[in-house]
Amino acid sequence: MDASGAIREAKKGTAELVVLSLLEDASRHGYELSKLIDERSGGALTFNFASLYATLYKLEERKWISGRWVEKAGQRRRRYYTITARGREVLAAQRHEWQRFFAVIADLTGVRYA
Amino acid sequence: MPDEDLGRWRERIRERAERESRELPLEVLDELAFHLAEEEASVLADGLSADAARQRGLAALDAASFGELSSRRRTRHAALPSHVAGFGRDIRLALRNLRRSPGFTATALITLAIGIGANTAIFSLVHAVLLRSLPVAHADRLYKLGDAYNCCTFDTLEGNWSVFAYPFYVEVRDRASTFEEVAAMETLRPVLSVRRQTGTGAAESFSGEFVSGNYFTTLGVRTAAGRLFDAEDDRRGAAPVAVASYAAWQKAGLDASAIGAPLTINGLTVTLVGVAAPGFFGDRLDTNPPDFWLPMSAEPAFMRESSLIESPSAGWLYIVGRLKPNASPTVVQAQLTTMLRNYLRVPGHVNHPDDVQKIDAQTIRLAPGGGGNNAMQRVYQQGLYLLLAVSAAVLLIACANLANLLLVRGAARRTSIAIEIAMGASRSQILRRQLIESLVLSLAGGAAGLLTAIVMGRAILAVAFRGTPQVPIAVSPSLPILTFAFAVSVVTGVLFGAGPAWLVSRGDPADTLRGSVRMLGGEAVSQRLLVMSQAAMSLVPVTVAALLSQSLRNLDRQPVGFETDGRLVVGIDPQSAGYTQPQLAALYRRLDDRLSRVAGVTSESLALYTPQDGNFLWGARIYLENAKGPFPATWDRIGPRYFETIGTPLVRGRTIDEHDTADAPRVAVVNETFAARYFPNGNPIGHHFGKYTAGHANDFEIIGVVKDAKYVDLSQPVRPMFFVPVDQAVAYDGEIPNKIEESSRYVSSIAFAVRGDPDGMQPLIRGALADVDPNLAPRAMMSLRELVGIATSQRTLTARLSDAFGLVALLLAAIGLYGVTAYRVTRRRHEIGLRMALGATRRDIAAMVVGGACWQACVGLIAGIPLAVLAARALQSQLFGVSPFSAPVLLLSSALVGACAVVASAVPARRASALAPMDALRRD
Repeated sequence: MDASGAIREAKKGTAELVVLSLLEDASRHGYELSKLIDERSGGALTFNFASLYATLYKLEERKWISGRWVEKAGQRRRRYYTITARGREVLAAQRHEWQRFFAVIADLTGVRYA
Repeated sequence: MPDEDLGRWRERIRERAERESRELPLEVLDELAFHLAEEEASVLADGLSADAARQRGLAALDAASFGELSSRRRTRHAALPSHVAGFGRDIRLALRNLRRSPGFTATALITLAIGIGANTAIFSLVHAVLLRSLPVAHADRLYKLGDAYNCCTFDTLEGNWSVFAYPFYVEVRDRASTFEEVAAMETLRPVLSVRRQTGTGAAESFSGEFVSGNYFTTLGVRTAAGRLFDAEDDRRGAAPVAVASYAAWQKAGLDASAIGAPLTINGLTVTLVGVAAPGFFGDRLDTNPPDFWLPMSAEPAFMRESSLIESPSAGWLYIVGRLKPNASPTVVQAQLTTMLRNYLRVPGHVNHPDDVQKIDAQTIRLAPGGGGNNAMQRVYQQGLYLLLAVSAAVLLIACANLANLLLVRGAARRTSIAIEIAMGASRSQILRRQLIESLVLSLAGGAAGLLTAIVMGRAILAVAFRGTPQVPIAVSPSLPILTFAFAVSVVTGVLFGAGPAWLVSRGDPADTLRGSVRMLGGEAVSQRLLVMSQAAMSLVPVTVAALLSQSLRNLDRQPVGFETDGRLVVGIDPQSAGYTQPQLAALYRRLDDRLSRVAGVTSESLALYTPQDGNFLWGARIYLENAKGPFPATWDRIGPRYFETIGTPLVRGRTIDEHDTADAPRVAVVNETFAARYFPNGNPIGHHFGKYTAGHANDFEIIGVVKDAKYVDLSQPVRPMFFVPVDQAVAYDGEIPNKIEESSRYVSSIAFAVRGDPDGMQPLIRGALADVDPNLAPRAMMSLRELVGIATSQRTLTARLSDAFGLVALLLAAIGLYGVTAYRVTRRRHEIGLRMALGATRRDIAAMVVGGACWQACVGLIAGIPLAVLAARALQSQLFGVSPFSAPVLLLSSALVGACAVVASAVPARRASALAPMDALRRD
């Protein structure tokens, strides 16, 4: 496959890792997450909003995150997601995997990252 | 204030989703709308125009794909733990899916109801007859003295003893310290003529049993009314009392006022003191349970000359005892054996001098008594286990059917399952859902099966116990039965559900969603295997049914040696009506005189017993005139005209008639087997023989030979038998032979040959008997045809049931084969169209379909023949006149299963051959 295709595949795999990481230290709602991703990656990583929510729902079904509606006075009703204990375990494991993967790729291809 | 922006985005999202034919749940709409609304607000806040902000949102919307979102279900905030909530959801899903395919569900439920129902019905019978303990307390500590099934009165050494004399019982009771309680009960059931003393109702016949005073306490029976026996009632000289069984109590229409009231039993006044608890039918499972229990101390008053209670050498009692909690049965057994031998060594306790040297070979073995003394178990055991095996085979066939149905259904739902997997459902979840669906189905089928089982069980009992006044078995749902039905349902569900579920949860969803589905390789093979195994398994019930039916036909067609048309047998008991030996001759004259004059009666005769009335007790040792012997024989006492009345032809000489009175020379008529065995070299007429000792070898002169007749077991060869006149008695030296001789003079049957319907004669005969003596209550009235029917009822039942199972097996196999063939035809439409386009005729196509089904069935049959032969060997003892390896029967069964395969595949074959080739090719 071509370069962009490779990155597309890689993106799919990283979506879960990204979401879990961003929920690691705080509960957030979907829009907030998409904004964070956009900012932190400097625009390189974008998710179509439908697939972001699809990812969120999948994670919720697996009980790695849990969601709840919150309604405050003067605010729109929004759904917050919180990482679960199981989710933290998975996050740690996935991080480990990705680090090893990149180490191997780096060795093989001479790719360095900042 | 309603949020208009949110509302607008919601609408747009909904429209966008509709364009993809998706419907989004409300919550998802809300969340997405919130996102876009926030995005729009953020863009506005950055300074862009409202238009630009809206365009941004719409662009994002356009780029979105809602495939993964549309069937997202949000779980409500369940208070249940997630496992349970998921479980409940799966069950609801399963119910919904089953409702959506009523055809499949109905077929499955009916199949399951039949399979599980049949197994449960047979199991409940097995449980009631073979497994369940008697409803007595501490059944595990109850032991019977003797594990052989000897019956009923003995005056010789038994070897392995199970029937005992009263003095021996007393010794055991008083001296065996390892028993808490020891009780005795007689082996026979004397007929009692019972009448209430208040009012003038006629006497009715009931059965009785003499028991020791501690009988009820040993067995731990409770009362339904009044009290039961105690030691005081069993004292010599105590006023006679009786305890009624609950069934007799109801049958006689007695109420509480009868407790303590006097009854007249066999002419004696007896006080009814209590009623046993319902469900207690006695110490053994019997088709003739006792109606009244009487204390042993009353036996002399009732039995008079036939009383055996004083005799030290007459065995007529079963002994049952409850061991102390820590007693070891093996130790107790050895102690009892020693006790028996010491008892036998006392002078007078053994009847024959030559038996003395055999005393050390006599033993008593202890057998668990909780299941009761069980002649009935012996009779029904084989048949029941056979039926259980056959019904298990039917259930397996049903499972194969269901598995196939599920495979087909799984294939049809492949697409929706692929989507579920793509949306994140794990394979184990899919597997779990499939299994739960199978379990729900099988549990529902099990519930339906339970109802079926109750109906079937009742029907079976009605046939099995045809002719008995009481059925001592209740087939109603009890805990073991319900547990069995539940367990079978679960196992069935897993059996037929697991394979298909696993297959369905495999498979790559991407392939499926891409379209153009081919059948998974595993699926095709599984279906073929299932069909083959169905064919193999259905051969077993069909072969069993064929063999049993053939046996039954052979049994029915064999000559029985007497006539069954227009013959009636009436049971009476002169002893219970109060007659003594000297009065018998005159009574018999009066009976002959009055009964022969009843309108419609062409001939009548008295007899000690008639064919097939359950009497197998009159065996004797005989000695021939040259003092050769002893030889075994059975015998009967008969009145004049007996053989014409029951229709047994005379072969030589003459039969017994009015001239053979008490003063006339003693004569006997023998059957062919007797003549052939003991007088092989010629005519037995004029020769002599006698009973019991060589000294009596010249007692009877043989005056005639009659054809062999089956008096006892229709499937066993006839034994040597002789008949002596009712009035001629012999005086012997021993006490027991004389007692037997005396009791043999009391006839218990009157045989009638009538014009027209025997059953219609009953009122006339009853009236005539009452004319002679109102106390002579007829015990039973049955035509000989009915008696023969009852004798074969167990076999008939087994044969009919196995026929039914065989049919069900065939039907299930046919349904299964039909389903699979039809499905494969659908899958092969393209191929069929191609063939037709290339020149195949309709007949070729039909032949291809039928041929495919048939070769599967053939392979299955070949595999099934060894199974069928094994099954046939197992039921060898039930067969009569047909070998288990009978080639014709195997061929017939195989042909039946094969024919069934052809018929089942015929409809799909016709449909296949009727396909228009262009249609078949076009639609892939």
